[in-house]
Amino acid sequence: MPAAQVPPERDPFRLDRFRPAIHRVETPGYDQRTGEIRDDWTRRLEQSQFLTIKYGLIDAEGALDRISHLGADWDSYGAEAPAADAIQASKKILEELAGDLILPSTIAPSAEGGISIYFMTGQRTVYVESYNQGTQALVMYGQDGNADVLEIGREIPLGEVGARILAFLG
Amino acid sequence: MATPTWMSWLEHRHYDKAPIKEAIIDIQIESSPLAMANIETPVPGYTERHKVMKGQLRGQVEGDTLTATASQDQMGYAFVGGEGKNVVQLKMNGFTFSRLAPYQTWEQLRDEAKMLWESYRARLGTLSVVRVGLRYINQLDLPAPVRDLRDFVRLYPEVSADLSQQLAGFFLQVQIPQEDLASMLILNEAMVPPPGPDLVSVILDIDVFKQGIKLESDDEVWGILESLRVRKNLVFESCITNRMRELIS
Repeated sequence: MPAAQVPPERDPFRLDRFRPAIHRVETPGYDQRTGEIRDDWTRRLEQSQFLTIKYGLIDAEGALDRISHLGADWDSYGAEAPAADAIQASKKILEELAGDLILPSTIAPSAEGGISIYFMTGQRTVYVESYNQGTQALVMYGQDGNADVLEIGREIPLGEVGARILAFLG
Repeated sequence: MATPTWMSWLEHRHYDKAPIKEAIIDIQIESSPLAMANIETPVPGYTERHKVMKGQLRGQVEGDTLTATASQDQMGYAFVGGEGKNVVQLKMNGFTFSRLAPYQTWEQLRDEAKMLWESYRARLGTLSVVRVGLRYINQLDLPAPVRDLRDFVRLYPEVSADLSQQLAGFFLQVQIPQEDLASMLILNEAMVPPPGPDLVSVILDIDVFKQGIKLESDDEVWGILESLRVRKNLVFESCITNRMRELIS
């Protein structure tokens, strides 16, 4: 007796539905594949200005959030804890500079009370320091070790900080 | 992928509130013994220059000492123009042109990229193009709370009904060969922090590219880009719902 024909729409094992969607299922080792995915994502981030800035800002705000939880004497030399105003001012600077496609190299609490946002290339370093008492300074270190300090808002407008950083870092 | 008939009218549709955050034209070349000096001179209209580094520079502060810990290799230069919205990366292995929001039109994007490509090519002389890509990064800002992503997008992670459907985040990538164009489509979709408290944001990153080629004629390069652009539009329309269309119209 011939086997009963199952109508295709009632056949729960209609494997033909999947053809040719999956071309290759065998993969290299898990570690190798993980590395490939990471490298691909890095390339995709580097190619995109928007994603570089978007994810860079997420990282930077994460760093600020961690710093905001520091208490007094965080350096064991009696430093003040970063104040909420300094955190807010730093966030504003980061957003302003992101508009100029500039991301920080690192963010650190300042021993003088506040937060420092660093930008570095080669032998040159610039940082924006947001002090607990409310002022902000742009500090530019040359190869000779001398620093040029400008108070933001008084000696340099906030909107010009990005261009100044780029010009200094070359 | 043939254009479904019902969708053909959508291919050239214009959205007033297009969610495009960045449009990228990427052309890679066969490595050549090129000197960095060839690409460091600014392009007319693109005066602001950044170095393009491979690898991320990360600084470290210990006590009073600040050190940069990661090593970096310089790949080329990025020049910024168009009031900060156009960025061209001239690299040892190729050329990338980005237009940031607000996006204008394909014609403006293509013509600007063409002008910059000609400048790049003039610095290098003879070259072979080995990869041509077009990438559009969209940020879909959806009104919160989003009960079902399927109301807005047609590409989403399907979570078992036995699990909670509440998503705090996801990242999804699919790679779909475009056999008729001998190209590849890579779609990345991810949740990202939204610009406001009443929104949920999803990145829809569409990358269509052709590689494994060796082209010396510019006409071929721009011809491929035109066909990738049609495909990109089709992919975008395939990934969104009518409710999403209403939001961006």
